Amino acid sequence: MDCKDFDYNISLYIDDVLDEQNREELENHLKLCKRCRESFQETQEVISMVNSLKPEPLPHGFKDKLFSRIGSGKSLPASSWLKWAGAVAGVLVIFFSIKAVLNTGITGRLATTAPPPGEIAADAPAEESEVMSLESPAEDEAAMEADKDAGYVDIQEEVSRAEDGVDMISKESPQEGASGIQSNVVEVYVQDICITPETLKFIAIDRELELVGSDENSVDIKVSGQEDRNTLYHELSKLGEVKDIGDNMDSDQIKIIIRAGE
Amino acid sequence: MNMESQLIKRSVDGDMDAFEELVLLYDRQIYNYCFRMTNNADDAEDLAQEVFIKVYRSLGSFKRESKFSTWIYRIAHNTCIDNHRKKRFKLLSLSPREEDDRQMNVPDGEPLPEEQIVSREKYELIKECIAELKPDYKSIIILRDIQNYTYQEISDILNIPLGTVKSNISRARALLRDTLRSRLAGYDERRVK
Repeated sequence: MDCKDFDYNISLYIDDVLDEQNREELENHLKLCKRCRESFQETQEVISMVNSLKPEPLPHGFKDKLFSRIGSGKSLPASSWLKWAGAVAGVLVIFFSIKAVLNTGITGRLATTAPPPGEIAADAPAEESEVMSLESPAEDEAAMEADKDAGYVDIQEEVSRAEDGVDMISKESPQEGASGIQSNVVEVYVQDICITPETLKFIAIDRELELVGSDENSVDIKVSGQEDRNTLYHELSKLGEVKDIGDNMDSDQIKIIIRAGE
Repeated sequence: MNMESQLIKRSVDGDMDAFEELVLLYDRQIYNYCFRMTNNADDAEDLAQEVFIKVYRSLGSFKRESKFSTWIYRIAHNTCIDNHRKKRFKLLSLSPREEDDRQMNVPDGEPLPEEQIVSREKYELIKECIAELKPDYKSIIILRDIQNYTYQEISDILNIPLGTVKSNISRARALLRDTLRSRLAGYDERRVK
């Protein structure tokens, strides 16, 4: 084991998660190398310092503030009526997505490819407001306000995302490694309640990728080569399962559609 | 059914007292997680409140196959990361160069004024060094070395592979150690002079 490997393995050794062979090699190196011995001691010291940090006291009135924001006395909103409303909303969205796609004469992957921005709204404004009314119970105004502050406007979406997040935790282990996006359309099956097109916009900006469009559940990002495609895949796979569903392999734009996980 | 599971069930059934008890089980931990992620008491309070509001809204869909602590920490982590991205976006819009410099994750070796180090000591310095880490490393240091979660639990909370947890813990601690070392060296040099 050289000094570089030693440095990488110090932490794992301290936490006792190093396999036996590496542990022996590390211990041998420790006896021979003065510099690494110092690094080892310093790492131990840093860990114990971090470990000894005292917890910060909770701000005064934290709980009262929280409950006044939530609004006391109400039942939790993720109740059966809301799930039912969400299911109806989901069916309506799928129905009108299909309708919008059919109207443009596009065939294939009807239920999985989102229509371009604006098509649903232009085609079915009345139906969209119906969906919105189901998703926005007026009784939960304080909580809705908090949602608005945080950039979340869709309770049901959050609920289903939280559900997906839990599903992912319990049923799937994250996969090592990553490949790139090949086509021009991907779906991301999100695993938590925080992922919105806004999140994808921030990622694009963060990764210096050009954002060329967005709608309520998707964004379009320009890519200049495989490297950008790999970067994007890597970032998206942190958010959830990525499905490459497009058929154009030469496009310089990728549509990313946020989907509720299964 | 343990106490926590009972509280969750009662909360879902609309019992606000039960939800309050559930909040009391986690409020300090979640606030402290947000505090270390932001290094700012006001931001931490806002974020922790946001976390509990999300928990309140989503509790009905919480499935008991996973641990509640993993679930709530994941919400907390995502809320903090989302907040970081929003802030970074604002900063980038204003001054990309300044933000890039601020996000550099290498020890800067910038010596501290003597009076600062005397009063703050190492303990304060380590807090600053944690605050300077990038969010991925910061979260892993908080979860592992402050809140003592196992590698597997961290993998579940952050939804990253176990291998990534291991390498991030190694890198984050090494970076923390090197940053601290270089800042203390800067301080010692000034003292000698």
